[in-house]
Amino acid sequence: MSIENKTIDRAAQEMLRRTQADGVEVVWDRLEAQEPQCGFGTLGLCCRNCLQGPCRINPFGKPDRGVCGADAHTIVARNLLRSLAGGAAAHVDHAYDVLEALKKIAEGSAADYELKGEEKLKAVAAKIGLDTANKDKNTLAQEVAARAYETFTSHSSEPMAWLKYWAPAERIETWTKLGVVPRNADREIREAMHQTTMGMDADPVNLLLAGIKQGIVDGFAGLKLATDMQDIIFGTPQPVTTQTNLGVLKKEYINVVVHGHVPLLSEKIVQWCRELEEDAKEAGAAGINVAGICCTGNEVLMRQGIPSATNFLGQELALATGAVDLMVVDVQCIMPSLTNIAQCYHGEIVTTMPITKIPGADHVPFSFEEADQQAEKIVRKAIASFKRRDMARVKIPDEKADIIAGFSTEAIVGALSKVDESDPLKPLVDAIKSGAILGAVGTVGCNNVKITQDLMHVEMVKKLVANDVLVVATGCSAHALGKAGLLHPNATNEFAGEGLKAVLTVVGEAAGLGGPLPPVLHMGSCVDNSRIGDLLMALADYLGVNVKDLPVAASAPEPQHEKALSIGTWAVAMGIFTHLGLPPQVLGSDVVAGTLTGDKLESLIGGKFYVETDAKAAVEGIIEHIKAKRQALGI
Amino acid sequence: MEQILINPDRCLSCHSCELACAVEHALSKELLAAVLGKESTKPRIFVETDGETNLPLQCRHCQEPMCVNACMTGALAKDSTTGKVLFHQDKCVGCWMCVMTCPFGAIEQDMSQKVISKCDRCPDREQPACADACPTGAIRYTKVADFAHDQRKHYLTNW
Amino acid sequence: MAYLILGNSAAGIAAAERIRQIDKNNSITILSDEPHAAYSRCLTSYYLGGQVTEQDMYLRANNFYQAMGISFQPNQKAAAVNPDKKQVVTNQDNIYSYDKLLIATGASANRPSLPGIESDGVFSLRTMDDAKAIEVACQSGRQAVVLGGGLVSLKVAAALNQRGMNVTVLVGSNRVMSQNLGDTAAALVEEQLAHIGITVKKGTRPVSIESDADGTVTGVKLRNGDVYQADLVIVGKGVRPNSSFLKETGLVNGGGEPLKVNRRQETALQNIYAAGDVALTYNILDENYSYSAIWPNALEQGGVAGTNMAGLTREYPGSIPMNSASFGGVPVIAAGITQPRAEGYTLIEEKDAKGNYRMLVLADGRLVGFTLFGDTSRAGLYTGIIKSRKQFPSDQALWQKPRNYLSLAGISTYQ
Ligand SMILES: Cc1cc2nc3c(=O)[nH]c(=O)nc-3n(C[C@H](O)[C@H](O)[C@H](O)COP(=O)(O)OP(=O)(O)OC[C@H]3O[C@@H](n4cnc5c(N)ncnc54)[C@H](O)[C@@H]3O)c2cc1C
Ligand code: SF4
Repeated sequence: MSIENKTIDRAAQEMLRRTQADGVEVVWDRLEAQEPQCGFGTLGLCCRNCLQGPCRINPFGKPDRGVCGADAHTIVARNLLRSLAGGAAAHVDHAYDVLEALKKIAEGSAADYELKGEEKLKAVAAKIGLDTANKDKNTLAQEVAARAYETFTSHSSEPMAWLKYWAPAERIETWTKLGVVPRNADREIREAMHQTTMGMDADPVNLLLAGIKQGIVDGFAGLKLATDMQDIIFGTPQPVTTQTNLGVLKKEYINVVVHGHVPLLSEKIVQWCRELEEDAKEAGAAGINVAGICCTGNEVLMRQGIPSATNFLGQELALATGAVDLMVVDVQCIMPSLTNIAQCYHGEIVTTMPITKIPGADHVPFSFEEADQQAEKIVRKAIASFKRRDMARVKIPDEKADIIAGFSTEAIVGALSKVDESDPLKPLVDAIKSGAILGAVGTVGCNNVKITQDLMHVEMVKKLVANDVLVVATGCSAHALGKAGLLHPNATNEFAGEGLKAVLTVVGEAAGLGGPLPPVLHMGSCVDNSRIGDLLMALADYLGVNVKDLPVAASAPEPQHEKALSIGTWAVAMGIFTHLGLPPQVLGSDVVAGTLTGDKLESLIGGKFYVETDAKAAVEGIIEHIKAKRQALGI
Repeated sequence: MEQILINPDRCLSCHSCELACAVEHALSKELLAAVLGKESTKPRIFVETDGETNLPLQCRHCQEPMCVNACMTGALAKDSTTGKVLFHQDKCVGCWMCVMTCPFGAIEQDMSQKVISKCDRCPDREQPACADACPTGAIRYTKVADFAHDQRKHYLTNW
Repeated sequence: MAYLILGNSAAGIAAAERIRQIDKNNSITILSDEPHAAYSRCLTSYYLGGQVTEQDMYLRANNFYQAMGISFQPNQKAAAVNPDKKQVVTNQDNIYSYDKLLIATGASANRPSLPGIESDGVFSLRTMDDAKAIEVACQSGRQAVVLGGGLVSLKVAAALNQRGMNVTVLVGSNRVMSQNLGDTAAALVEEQLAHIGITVKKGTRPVSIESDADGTVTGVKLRNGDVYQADLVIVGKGVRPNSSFLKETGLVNGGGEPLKVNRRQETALQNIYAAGDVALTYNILDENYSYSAIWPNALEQGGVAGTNMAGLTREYPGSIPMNSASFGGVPVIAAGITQPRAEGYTLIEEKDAKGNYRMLVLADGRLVGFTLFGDTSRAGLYTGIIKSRKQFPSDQALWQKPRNYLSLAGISTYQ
């Protein structure tokens, strides 16, 4: 495969030429070595759920059942449910971590942190029915935390707490009818494991409903809860300007890269990089430069304006610059190959979490209680590592793009309020009604090495904005769009359709940008998909309709992770038309694939999956959907 | 001349070769399209086991093929330039004479169409689909001399 | 050097091709008493049944003889061979000289000396012209009687049945395919024949063929006096080697008997070889020569003869009796000794719930025969094992193993 077919990111291309010349194996090489990939797995037709297996179903004939008697539909649906439970578990565990941190900070046992998001704390407390008057922030936070914990401790069949507080009544009613209302996040994930073990559920439709439940668990006990807690601890993001791509690494500086997903660590690393600036200079560096990868990168980007180095597929290539002195990681999406690449070029890999260790990496256990001490230790390792760096082998691509980010729901409403202070959503809703804005699409999710890196994200979004569709983005999609220049106001002039451009210009100028807003609003990390959810619920509320009726869609153009599947399922459960740029491993069962993408599901729940691997066709499909929704609304 | 050569020690019985073979002989030649299109297709390679050893087996394209001698229609013929045992489906009448004589059991009967199917060494590919699909290198498409060389080397370095 | 081949069928063509592979220059001549380019006689019943066209029956491309540099002489029936002069004389009085001669004249259908056998409407099926003549004579809805219950007879019966005739097969013995099948398998085949609407009468003795004043066949009369009405009669009473033209050479006595050969397919006379249905076949099982007139033998023996004629040395590895047939879409394959008459044989058989039948015959820990009915998949594995003469630890060991190469051939000790 040519380098141009591996990635459209010019910095990544340059680094790939380097790894190729050096004979260093990276993710694309490993895919090639795996190809052709197992057809049974591709179709979801292999089962390893008991020791009588492994079994696989022949898509073209016999055997058509596993040893236990499970057929293709059962096996595919079971595997999918396990994947969804895996995705939900990742986000719920993340949320649980930050909730625990909030509680400890509020109680004073995690003294290295303080609560910076007082406004958010009050807003959340009010929404969940707490009396906020005359309470200091730590007391209130403890009360919020106690309520939030109920999401995991409900032993009744009541809807789980964070869902009960935030989900629209119409959704709860719909989900109740389908029997998919989660009671307790942990219990649902446990139940999914039980439901899919040998000799349990064989009904593919029942298994799929359980999958929908996992999506709802993810959305409320994962995404929403995590974002809320993080905003309370670190503050709610506001627009910031910064830069992205490998060109943000600086040769004369000590380069520290934060990679992973949870801001508890990365925030502290950023802080200590600033505090140890003098030590860095003593070591001969111009200072310390922090950059992010993946969603922990997004977290510090959104709140601190820390530049982002690259997205998922670029993580190895960042090390290939030879300029990264230390990469510190927490959880999720971390390639175990990083240590090899670091050995070939330069830099130390530091793992920090008890559930994410990598052979060959330095492990510094990270805890909220001793966060400062450990963060300092890690940054000092970076300084030491810098001293070992071979400057002759440093090669940083001269590629970076300016971006504006930090568009939390609050920030967007804030910008809109500059246009109409008393009724901030009105300008947006009016623009949608008039057709100046055709609709909105959230592009989210990963890179997938099977798709040319960033290509699908960028191609789709260029076409969407040209059709006056407002795009909001999170996760690796936002990184991709940033690298391609789409998170900058210039892109509005270059790519946006006339209607969209006019609206973005009005809002941008009112907000004091002296020009339009970017055509794509960066709303944060992948847990921050909850921000998109909040925005949609607010819009639906304003219009007096349901989320499923809005002229909107979601898209994961290059999905890779189980999390992408569970987030997507949450979106579908919310009633959103959800595009995937690559089929999940379910095509071995026409029942499962057909149900997920079928009209029946849409009629029951409002949303469905839409799989299309071609960017142009995908955008056409999405726009057709948006237009149908507009028509149904009579606009 | 390249041959499909098997190293049974490496076969894990994953059946990937069978699937790849079935796909290659589907109309669309593409897994997802074949499955979504509900195409009917069958492999021409079979992973066999006796409990200890696994062996992917397909038409060996014998030097002196029994099946060609037995075929009373001329549907099976040995190509003297490529060494392949070629099968011309339109000539086959399903008399199963070849099935009766192939000592490897490598010829499958399609009872509905009354024709046989067997390995054609993937005429549309550089390397047969089974060899491509084998994740462990148990199936290789190579010259006998190269294969033997590697086997000797393996033996000499691992005894 | 001139190669002369009498016979333009399986054995003759295989020999010619092999010679040409080895000897690119010297002349090869093929004589045939038929007018057609080489075709598959086995397909004549398929032709009759409407499953293949005449075009499908030809074995080689149109330009085959030319491309191979073979002089093909149709309609030249060999009448005599003069080994001293190394010449063959044909019915047309043409003389062909040879340095190496292959006799591959095959066999003809037996015509028992029944009164009335010369009536119009009485046929045998051996050649393409036979098939065409029967095709003209057969009429849907009319009565056909087939004499004989062997493989070819049943194939013709099935073809006529396919053409809509009401077919009755008169079998002398107590079962069909008595040469190939034991009682159980034969009964299964009979069930299939009944299923497709063919009537089989066993233990019958035809004594004459009845005809009307014009000499057109009307029926077949049995010894017990019964008369089976017939508009068409097929005589399928085995074959006779086409060897009578060799009487003067001393290779045969009366003619009609198969030629003796050695493993190089040489006859008793120098430079004269024989292969195919005209000759005896070396049988691996009894390590002796017997008559086994089947297509694969003809082809393989032709190849061996050709190799030796062209100056290389090659021995015929030997063969076993075997055959394959399908009736009503259900296949049956039998090979080796399937009806042991002597002591010392073990016979294991099984009929499963789906109607598949499997029977193995073992002797001395070796597989010597098998019959498969219904599920005939991978039958060649058994054929191969019979030919290998491999000994198994126990009879059951072979029986119980799954029918795959690895388990049956026991190559698990492969290093
Ligand atoms: C209807 C039918 C079905 C059959 N089905 C099967 C089957 O399923 N399986 C199987 O194994 N076998 C089958 N056979 C038998 C098979 O056809 C023969 O074994 C095979 O054809 C023998 O080949 P051959 O070359 O020895 O002789 P033949 O095929 O008999 O050819 C003899 C050749 O010699 C020529 N010839 C004869 N006499 C002279 C002469 N005096 N001078 C010059 N040329 C002469 C003929 O024209 C012919 O070209 C079937 C036969 C028939 C008739
Ligand atoms: S089944 Fe087909 S290929 Fe096999 S011998 Fe008969 S005609 Fe030939």
